[in-house]
Amino acid sequence: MRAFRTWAVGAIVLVLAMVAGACGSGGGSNDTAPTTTTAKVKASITITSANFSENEMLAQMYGAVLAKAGYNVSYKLKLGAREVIEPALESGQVDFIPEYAGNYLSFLDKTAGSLSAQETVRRLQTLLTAKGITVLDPSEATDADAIAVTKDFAAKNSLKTISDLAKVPGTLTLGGPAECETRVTCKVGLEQVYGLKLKFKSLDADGPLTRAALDKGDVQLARVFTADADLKTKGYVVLEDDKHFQQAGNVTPVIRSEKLDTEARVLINKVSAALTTDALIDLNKSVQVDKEDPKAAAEKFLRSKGLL
Amino acid sequence: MWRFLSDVAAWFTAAEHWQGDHGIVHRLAEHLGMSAAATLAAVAIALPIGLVLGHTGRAALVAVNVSNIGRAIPSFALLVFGVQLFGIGAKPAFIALVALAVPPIVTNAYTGIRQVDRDVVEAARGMGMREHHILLRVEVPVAMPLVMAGVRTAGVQVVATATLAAVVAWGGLGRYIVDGLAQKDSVQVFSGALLVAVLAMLAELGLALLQRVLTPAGLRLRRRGARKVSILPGAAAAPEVG
Amino acid sequence: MPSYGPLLGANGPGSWIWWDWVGRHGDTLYAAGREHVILTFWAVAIGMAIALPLGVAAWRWRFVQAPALGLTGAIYTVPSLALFAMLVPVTGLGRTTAEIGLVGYTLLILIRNVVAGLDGVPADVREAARGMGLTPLRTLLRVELPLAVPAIVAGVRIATVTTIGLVTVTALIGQGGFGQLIYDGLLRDFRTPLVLGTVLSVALAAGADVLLVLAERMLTPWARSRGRVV
Repeated sequence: MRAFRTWAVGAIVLVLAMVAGACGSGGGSNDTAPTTTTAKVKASITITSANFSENEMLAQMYGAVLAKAGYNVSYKLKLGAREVIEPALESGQVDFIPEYAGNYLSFLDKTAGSLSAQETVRRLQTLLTAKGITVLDPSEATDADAIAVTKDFAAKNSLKTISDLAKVPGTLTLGGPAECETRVTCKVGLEQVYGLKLKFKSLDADGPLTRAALDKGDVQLARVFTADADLKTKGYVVLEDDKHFQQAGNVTPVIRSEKLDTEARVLINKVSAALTTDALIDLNKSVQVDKEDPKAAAEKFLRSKGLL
Repeated sequence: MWRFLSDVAAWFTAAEHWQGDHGIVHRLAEHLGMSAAATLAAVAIALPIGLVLGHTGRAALVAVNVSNIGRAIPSFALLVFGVQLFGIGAKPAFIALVALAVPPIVTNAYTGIRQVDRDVVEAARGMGMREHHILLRVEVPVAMPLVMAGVRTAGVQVVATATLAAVVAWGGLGRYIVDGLAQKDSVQVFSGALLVAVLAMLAELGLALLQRVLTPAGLRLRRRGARKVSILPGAAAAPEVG
Repeated sequence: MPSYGPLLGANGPGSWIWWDWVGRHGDTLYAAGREHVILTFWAVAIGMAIALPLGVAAWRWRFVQAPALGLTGAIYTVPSLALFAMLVPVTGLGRTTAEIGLVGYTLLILIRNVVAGLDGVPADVREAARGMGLTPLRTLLRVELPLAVPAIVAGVRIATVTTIGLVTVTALIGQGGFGQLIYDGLLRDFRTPLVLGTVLSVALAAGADVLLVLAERMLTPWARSRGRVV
């Protein structure tokens, strides 16, 4: 009993001390000007990614640089497609997404059409300013959506462009992630722009399910990413988008404006500037084929560029 | 709230949501067909094992605990393993669902048979009945409620888990949930969830009814009072309770 | 994908288990395990906090029993993915959504076992307690609930093992513990995390079950001498 009392007194003293300490420090920072300018508290930034490995890797890449500079970075990765994570950004549940300019714009404005990267980013910023979101510099690194078929299927039907699909007899099935079915950059666009009539099968974002379905013949067309590591080695043929319904695939980070200061802007833009399409393909190979961690691959790249 | 519910109602009344290979009719048929096939296959595999083990009293530890082990294996993982081993399509989903349904049936059949009064079995043996006759004519009828409870548990679990098969590119009603989540279409998600929930409850009710029909009348009367709790819906296999 | 590959022995990115990867990912595995345990613990603890009073009420008053068991039974029947999906628009993508769903699934099991346990208290024991002049509340706390402990613990065991399995599904809404490893295995066609996530999840369930059996022994010292058969 005595031991308990001692413990209780100790606990109360501790709690009081903590409360007093909190009040003291709170008052201090509010009332008196800080004596040094370096004590500025950096923002807490929650980074999210879509549910495919390249995007997760990019999230880790930007996050690593921000964390090293002293930002309080946390992650909510692989949450889902843009349809899921974009509203989370708008509502402030997350603060940062490594986006892709064109697909993001067409998500916000279905009538945007195919534009240059710069024009895409300009329009994006116009739409996003009111939502408290800032679009950072687009990277030269590009990973766009594309429509692929197997080599055999392309040869048999002598396919080069998406327009060529019109002469293939029968109804073709397109495979891709579920959101493809309702996107103008995917199934909806293929039907509107190219006048195709397609069936659809929900698979994944150019992941193992899409590959398996294409190889097995469950689908004839697959939505893939142009920066995929083994697109060529697997012998898929990417059909030329001859009517330009697909968008600028430039990697383009977006962040909630209240979390962005000059230092963060410089850091993020530096990473985007260092990234190239070839580097992206290499990174995808490390992650998808060699099964390196998205985080490790991202950090290795940053180190090679002297950014980490 | 009302707006959302009326959107859901509109979803259900739209003709295009009922027709074609993305329609409710097609996906319901897929879901039911897959669930029935997987449950029947599991019965065909698990029932003989459980009954024979129960009759001989062998491998008690395995038979009793297999459903607990089965419960611990995440069904989501089973489906992903299915894809790794068999590619995509109906096959991996079917095999994963069978694997999921076998353990509770084995355990319940085993426990049911073991609960039969040993004196009755000895008496039957004394009367010169053959072993398989003892099993089929004496033990199984008495064990029927528990045996069927296992089938019911397994069946409902299969209907529920068939939903997850949409994550690994199969069809069924889970498609609406997975696709709706990806498309941020909460009306579709909710409608799909509603369909699956209703189907699971109907499966529960249907199997409970089957259980009742298959239980010999004498047993039904005697157990009425004692079974007021366990007759309610739920997937926990009976033997674990208490 | 269906390259059956060497099952054991091989050790690389494509094999079922890649030991180098395991060695390099101790912290990932630890973090996943921690999340798994936390999600499970709170689900069962909150479930128990709801189920115990509700179970007692359901046992005491018939008019509570039907709706309590009916409602929780209905929740139990809703497939996990559907339940989580229905909660996402309301509570967002986060731990709250996962916990609400997980708690929901424990309720039926727990309440049913509380009721079954209390039902199983022999009538003569109850009579004896009353005869000794104990009030109904004291009878409940001192006699009936302690005697119901084995049934209640059996319920906690089932609820815990079930929850540990279900936690993996919450990977689809950004949580998941070991489920994250399984999901990673699916997204990247990568078997090592798939195998690890599954094995560790099962091991966690088995470990938790053993701990609960031990806890039950400690809580019911009177049952030890009877030589229980598990």
